[in-house]
Amino acid sequence: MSRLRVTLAAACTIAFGAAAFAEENEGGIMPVQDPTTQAECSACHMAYPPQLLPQESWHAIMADLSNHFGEDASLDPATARTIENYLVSNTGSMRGVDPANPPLRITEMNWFTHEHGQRLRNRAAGDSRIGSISNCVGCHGGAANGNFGD
Amino acid sequence: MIPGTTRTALLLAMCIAGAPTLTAAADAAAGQAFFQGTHSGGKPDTPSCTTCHTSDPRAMGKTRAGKPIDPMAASANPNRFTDPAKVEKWFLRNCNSVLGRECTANEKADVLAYLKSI
Repeated sequence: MSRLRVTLAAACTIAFGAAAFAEENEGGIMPVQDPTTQAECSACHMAYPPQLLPQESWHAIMADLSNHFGEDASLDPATARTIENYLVSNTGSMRGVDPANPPLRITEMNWFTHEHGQRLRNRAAGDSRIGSISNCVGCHGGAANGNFGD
Repeated sequence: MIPGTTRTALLLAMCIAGAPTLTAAADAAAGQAFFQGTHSGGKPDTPSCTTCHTSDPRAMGKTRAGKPIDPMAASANPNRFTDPAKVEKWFLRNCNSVLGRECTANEKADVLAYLKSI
């Protein structure tokens, strides 16, 4: 087999493999990979993937863990630093976000409100099995694995 | 004859060693009242332990974000209270959330006594 043919075969495998993955993982977002972040954040809620917020938001959230959405979620400084580093190095800035006053809630992001209108918000609030609009897995069963397809 | 400094050190050591015994007169009934009670001084969304853990510690609880919490009663969850660092971590966070301050050693001992008694 010529080298060209081998290269072509490899390229096709990669291309089609990726396409098949994309199809399977529609609505997919890379779940949290860092074990410390996974363990600590998921103690109270699904460990939200870092890509759902811009860097500025994660910095602000990690700077005030003792007032974390109505609860004290304090961590020892070393653990907090590990988590913050992971979060900010796996996301970027986002359009429409004021870096000086970043949103603290994923549910405030434009993309989120676009996808989740008032009807869905009411449903989440009114259904005790869901409990909260921030409980992704209440509706997206595969969310913890990065699958947010309906 | 024991030299004075050694004697003092020994006395001090005995006092420190004895201290946990003295403070560990844990009271399950007091722990129950504390766990079931509504407190002030903390964050408005979490006035009681029962906000998340429900009034039955043998049952599953739920975080405010909707995630299940394993039962707090040792009888319903053998893993409870087996990791002292975890116990202290959550007392610190949750006492701050519910009472706006750290819990005292006595309060923690009472709550543990309650959760181990049911």
